[in-house]
Amino acid sequence: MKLFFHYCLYGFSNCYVLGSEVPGEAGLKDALIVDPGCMDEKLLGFIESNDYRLRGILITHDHLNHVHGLRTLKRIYDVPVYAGDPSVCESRANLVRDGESLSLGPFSVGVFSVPGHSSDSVVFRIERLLFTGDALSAGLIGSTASAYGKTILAHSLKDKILSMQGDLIVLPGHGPPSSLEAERRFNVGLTAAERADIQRAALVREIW
Amino acid sequence: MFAFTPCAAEGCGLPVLTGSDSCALHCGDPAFETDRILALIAGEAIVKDLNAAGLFFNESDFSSKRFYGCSFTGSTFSLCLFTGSLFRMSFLDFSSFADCDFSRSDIMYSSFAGSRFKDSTFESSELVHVNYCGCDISECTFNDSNLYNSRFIGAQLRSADFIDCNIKKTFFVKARQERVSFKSSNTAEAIFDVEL
Repeated sequence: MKLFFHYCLYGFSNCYVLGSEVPGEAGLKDALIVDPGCMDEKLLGFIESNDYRLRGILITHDHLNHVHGLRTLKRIYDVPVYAGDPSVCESRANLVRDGESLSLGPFSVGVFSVPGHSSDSVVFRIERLLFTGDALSAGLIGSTASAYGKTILAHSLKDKILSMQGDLIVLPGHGPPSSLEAERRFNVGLTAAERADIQRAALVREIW
Repeated sequence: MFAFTPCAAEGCGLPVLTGSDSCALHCGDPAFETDRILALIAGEAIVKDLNAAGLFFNESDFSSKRFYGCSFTGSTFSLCLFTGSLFRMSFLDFSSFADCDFSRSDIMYSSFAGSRFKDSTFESSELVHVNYCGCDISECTFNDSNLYNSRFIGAQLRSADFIDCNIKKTFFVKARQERVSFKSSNTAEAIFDVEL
């Protein structure tokens, strides 16, 4: 499996292309693209020079800096979009649900819903790789509109993502990569959310 | 990306070392494995998908080597040379670096999370999109380096110099600082605090 990282200047987001190393039909290798925040010559060149046939576009959440390249990408390649929202950036998407497992060519994709940063936020797991979008990045968790959203996000991450084995690789929508073990130990966003939880519980006890 | 074949030892889920059927913990002779991996690296200018996690490297020369998708997680490096080396999508987290020289290196989209650095230098380097979260960094220099979009969240920085660096979008949130110099660096563009 070959992983290509591309930094999108529009919105300063991370886009990934995951490709198989074994040629399939017509000598083409299957590939997936995650969060096309842009679609430029470099990305197109990588797909073409590796003889990739895109099997799907995975969207971690429908924010413009992660889907800005979707329209151009769809004009070049006719591939299905998979997202936590049935409509992404004017394109119809295949709705993915929490706990679902997608089979896209040689890739088995696990879907984990982690609402909070946005209602449609999902984490995709492919083998040992976790595409976390904005929900989880190195040292931080996603920004939310309210304390309630933060609690929901922290709980979803703790229950569904951090419970996995520590050597999984975290590939976020912004910033550098990480490992799940590093996030368990050093994520200050999760620590702050836990602390806020404890304070809220103490307050409730005091009131009652 | 480095392979994730699990170690043959019963109950061990760690990935195997490249060219072996066990991890560093369960291989019979770690010194032999280190020599084997070093010989493998010495023979190539470009090293791809190597897994050398958990090994001990002493006075090893990795200078001018290009590493793509490699793992050195949990390894120990002392008196090692990384001058002019290149790392892309590589993982060196939870490792230990003492008296190591990363000057003029080009490191992008890689992770050193939870590592310990002592008396090491990253001078005149490209350190873009690098994860230093939770690192313990003492007596180290990052002078004249580009640290764009790197993260030092929750790191401990003691006697570390970031003189004349580009620290645009570099996160120092909750980083403990003692005798740290940011002289001539663009601190206004770095991020020292966020609403958590």
